[in-house]
Amino acid sequence: MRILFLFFLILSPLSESKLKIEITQGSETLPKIAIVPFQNEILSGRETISSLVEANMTLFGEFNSIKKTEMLSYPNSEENFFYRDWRLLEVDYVVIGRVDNTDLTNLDINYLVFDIGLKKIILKGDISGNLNELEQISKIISNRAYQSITGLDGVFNTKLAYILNPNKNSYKIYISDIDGSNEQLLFKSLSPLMSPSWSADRKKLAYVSFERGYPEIYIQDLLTGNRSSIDTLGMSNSAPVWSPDSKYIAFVMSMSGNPDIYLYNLRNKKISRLTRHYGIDTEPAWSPNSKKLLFTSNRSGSPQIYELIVSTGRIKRVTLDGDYNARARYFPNGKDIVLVHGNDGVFHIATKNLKSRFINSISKTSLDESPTISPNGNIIIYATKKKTQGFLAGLTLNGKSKFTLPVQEGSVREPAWSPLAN
Amino acid sequence: MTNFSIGFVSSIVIHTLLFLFLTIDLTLKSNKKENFSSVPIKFISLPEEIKTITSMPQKAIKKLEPTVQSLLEVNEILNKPELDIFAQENLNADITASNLSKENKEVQLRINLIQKRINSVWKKPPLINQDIQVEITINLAPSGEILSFKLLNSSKNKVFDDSALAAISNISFLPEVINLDRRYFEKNFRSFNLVFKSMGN
Amino acid sequence: MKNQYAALIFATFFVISCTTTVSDKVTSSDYASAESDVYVSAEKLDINLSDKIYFNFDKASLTDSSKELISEYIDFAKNAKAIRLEGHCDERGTREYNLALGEKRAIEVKNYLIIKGVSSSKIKVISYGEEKPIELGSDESSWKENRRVEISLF
Repeated sequence: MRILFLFFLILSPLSESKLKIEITQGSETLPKIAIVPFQNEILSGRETISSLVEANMTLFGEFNSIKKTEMLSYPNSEENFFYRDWRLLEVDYVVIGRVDNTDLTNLDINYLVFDIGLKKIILKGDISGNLNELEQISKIISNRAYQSITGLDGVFNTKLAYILNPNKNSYKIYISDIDGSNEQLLFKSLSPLMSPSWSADRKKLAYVSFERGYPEIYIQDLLTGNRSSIDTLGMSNSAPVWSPDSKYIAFVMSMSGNPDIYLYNLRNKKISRLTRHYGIDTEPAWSPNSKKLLFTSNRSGSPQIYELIVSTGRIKRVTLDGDYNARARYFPNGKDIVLVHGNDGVFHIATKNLKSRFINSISKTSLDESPTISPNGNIIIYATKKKTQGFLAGLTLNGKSKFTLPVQEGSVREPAWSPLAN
Repeated sequence: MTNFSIGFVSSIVIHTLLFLFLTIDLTLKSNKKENFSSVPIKFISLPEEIKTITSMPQKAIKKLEPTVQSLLEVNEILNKPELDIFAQENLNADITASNLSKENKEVQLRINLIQKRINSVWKKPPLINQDIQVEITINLAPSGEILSFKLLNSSKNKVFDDSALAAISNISFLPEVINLDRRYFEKNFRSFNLVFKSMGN
Repeated sequence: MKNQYAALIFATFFVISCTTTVSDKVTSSDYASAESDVYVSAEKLDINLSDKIYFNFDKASLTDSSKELISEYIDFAKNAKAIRLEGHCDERGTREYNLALGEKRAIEVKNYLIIKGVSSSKIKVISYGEEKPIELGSDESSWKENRRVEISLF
């Protein structure tokens, strides 16, 4: 990369054309953001909107924020906003706002996002809601601000599903907000639970439960709590994944010890077979357009990633290097994938472009697995282990930020990032 | 009477102190400025040697070592991050390459430094695997002051364009060109283009 | 070139401020939890034999020593009402792949029992993948304990 960048220096003083200087790397430091206390926000409860927005914006280490005590002024409108005050502090973006109480419970909030480098307002927003919905309001403001600054969807009101194994013979599925708050128990069992997968509308979760002595796929309605298993002929069903168009669940069924990929049609409940090989075929993952599936197969002798076109059944090998490549997921662009890449007994999270051969390891610890990608494609959360404690860690794709999610009692694993709310 | 004289004397003392304080502050500032610009001059006198060396490349490399040294010093004084190994090798190669003209060498050095400066302030937005670029025209004064800049070719991505424009407006000054021969300046840096590139992840 | 000049002329900076305007309303919802658990248990025969067959990493094939070990089971297995083979893996590698691998291991033991004359109809196979380790450590001594098929006779 660096060599490339140097080779790109173009020097043409002798020709008539203008000198061109290429800039490819960018700063190592994070953009600095200031969330100014909103006017009247102190009226709206124990937590302030600005502190909640600040916590969101810095959640994944994508921005550095400046303390309120360091700010030179607390502007609350365009009229009393001075770019100079923020340029002095080397701030890149500023969010200001004002709370108007239409009555005692309803809040009307106006907010602005400023780009200090460009000296202009990049977002004007307003939002209304209840006093007890402060968290939700702050998440929407954060999403809007994030979107205006990065051009990517904000993911602050997405959810995370995961499996918790507090001790032997205790397994639980939880859903929490993406910052780890508002944990809610979905199901608990004395037998293993695995492979949570979200429906595109975020209303249902599919997962594997061993509660009847063998692995079965259950679909649970998140609002009612109703759950039912998918009816198949096999006694071993696993790895369910909901297609983005909500028509199918791809899953793995093993008939007499031969795991293959199958489709479950959610409308007519029919099952169709997609792969037919005596080796292991498992870990299906849908492409964003619901037309292709990635899966892991050891048909070559070691686990490798393959891509399958659902309509034709054509299969293409995706990974060529390394002795263990498994559990891949597509990025939202459909062109890149994240996977678990093992070499010499060390397992890292890695990314790969479908068209290039190169596999790029992005995590550093040695037992990393179950990567899940944020709906905007910029953040990856995965499961890892320290001593006997399983916990969740994450990173941003530009490599500038790495974080861990709060540690719980027992081991946490198999994070599944929800789709965006509609 | 005594009150008045005490007031008079003390006001003189205060004013003198104030005066001293201000002038010292000023001299400090101007000192800094001189330091700032004096080092590149040191470097610029060196390429003359390179010309004579071209016929004896072996000696040239030896003699050139201090050149690279002073170049690194320039970087330090300009408060830049240290050049990495690749950059050092690259500069070495540039300077020893006998077919490069003096102008090329000097311009190349400025390009390297300008790249470093702009890279250090450019907050590249998180773009997921997109190969895009934006080209911006810069008009510079010989003093290094950025007189104006304009979006020449948009990346069609507003956030990406904005990040590049913000980087330039955050600089407003490119001191790297201050001691460049005026002819070289006019030819290369009076008006030049910056291309901000994202080559995926 | 002409295009470039045209672009230069039409290029705008600081002129058009393309501020986005948005308006939102908040709604919130809560999730419900479910709970139901059936636990199946049966009377297990007590045999004075090691009930675990071990495997190499990412392998389902039986070693010569494990074949010997299974052979000692044959007589008991022929007389048992039911046989349960439980496949397991160590924590390395991915969970769903290990679930499949554990099954392959149990199937391998099952096939060997069938070759030796045990009726296939009474053999039940299940894999727990890496979900039920015996040892929790992350070292070879723990891993090798966990890469196993457990044989239970009923």
